[in-house]
Amino acid sequence: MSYVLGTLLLAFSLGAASTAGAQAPSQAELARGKYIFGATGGCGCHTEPKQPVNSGGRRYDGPFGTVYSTNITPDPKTGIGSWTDAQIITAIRLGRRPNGERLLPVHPFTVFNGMAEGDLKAVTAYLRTLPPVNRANQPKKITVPMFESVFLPAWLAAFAPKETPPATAPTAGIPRGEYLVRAVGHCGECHTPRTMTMATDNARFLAGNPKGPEDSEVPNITPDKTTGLTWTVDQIAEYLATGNKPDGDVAGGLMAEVIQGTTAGYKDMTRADLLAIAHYLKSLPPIQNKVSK
Amino acid sequence: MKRRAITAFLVVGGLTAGLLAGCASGDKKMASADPVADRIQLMKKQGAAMQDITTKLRAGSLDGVAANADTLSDTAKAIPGLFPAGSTSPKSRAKPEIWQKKAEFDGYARSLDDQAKKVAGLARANNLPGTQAAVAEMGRTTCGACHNAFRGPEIKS
Repeated sequence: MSYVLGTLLLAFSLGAASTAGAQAPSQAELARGKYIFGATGGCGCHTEPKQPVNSGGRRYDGPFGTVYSTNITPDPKTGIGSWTDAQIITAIRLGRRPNGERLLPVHPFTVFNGMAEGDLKAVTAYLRTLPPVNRANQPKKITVPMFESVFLPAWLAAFAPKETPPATAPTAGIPRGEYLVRAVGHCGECHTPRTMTMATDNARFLAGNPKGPEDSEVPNITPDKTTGLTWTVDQIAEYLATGNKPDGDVAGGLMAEVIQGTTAGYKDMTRADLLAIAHYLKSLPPIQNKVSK
Repeated sequence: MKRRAITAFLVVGGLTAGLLAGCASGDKKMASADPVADRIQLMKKQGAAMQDITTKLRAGSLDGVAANADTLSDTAKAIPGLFPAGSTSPKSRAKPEIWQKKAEFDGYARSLDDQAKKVAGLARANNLPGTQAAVAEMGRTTCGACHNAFRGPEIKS
């Protein structure tokens, strides 16, 4: 009896420790977490316009039906406050909830799997510092029969981009730009055209999507001279920092949202990182794909 | 005959003076004959001013920024009057929401006037980082926000 009690007490304290954080994260780690959070666009998919940060509820319609983004504030009942760090990271990069439920890849977990463990830990620590919001998640409405049991696993195995995480995040140059674009910024989720199965057409990475999220026409940002992005490296970096375009116009729509972000956005990235992104974009194969905008 | 000529001359002269006075007092007083064409020209003028501002600031220069900001402020005042009721057109990117939410739309024009004045002030005070921040904010909260709400996609030619 005392053995069972002892084990339970041990498990409880370990559980409590990993929920609260066995060691409190340092200021440096929280700053890194906030920075990476901003570089993802401030997890804007989890925030409805004018609603509290990360409280979820944003609607996504697809051929599968309708899902709503979840509350990822530290609220223990309706958010992720009672999840361990490992559980949060598993959800972000492997698409599984603590109860075993699979996330739909509207949250592009196979792409986030390209993020380094250190960055994911930092983001997780940062998420826990934001205000908890009591807001229950809206249930999904899946209209395709056997979608989650059969179709989704098959689709993931066949079509989901398979990113593998680096041991540590690259810190400079083209590798840094690639990491920020592919994994952290997950730019391909909007900017890569989709196939008939709604998977990203990875052979045409960043070549634009005329039917993007929330009815957007998402531009081709490969360096194709006639249909792609022909801005200079400085102009690209400035755009990501301010939304200012070289022709005097200003970013609107979803790009304006991610540049501004929530508690942080693209605008908070260092000039070095923005230039790395710009250099990486310029290094991509130019792909001809006209998306009018 | 001469008296009639003088009278005619005075009447025509008076009308012309009145017309010119009306023009000189600003676009908003005199209704535009072609508001769609005029507002397209106006937005192009604003785009050119903004383009010069951002090019200069990117190079770390304040040269011409205040004057361009004055242009933005002046043209902003003309915006509400160039969107009279019913002036949608296949040539125009103006969304019907403009007339459903005219107060909000006009509010953006006023905001542009105010923020452009702020930019001009900071540029005249030789404050480069302040000007850069104010231009970014103006672009985001005014130009970008208004376009997002009220400007439709590019017209495919």
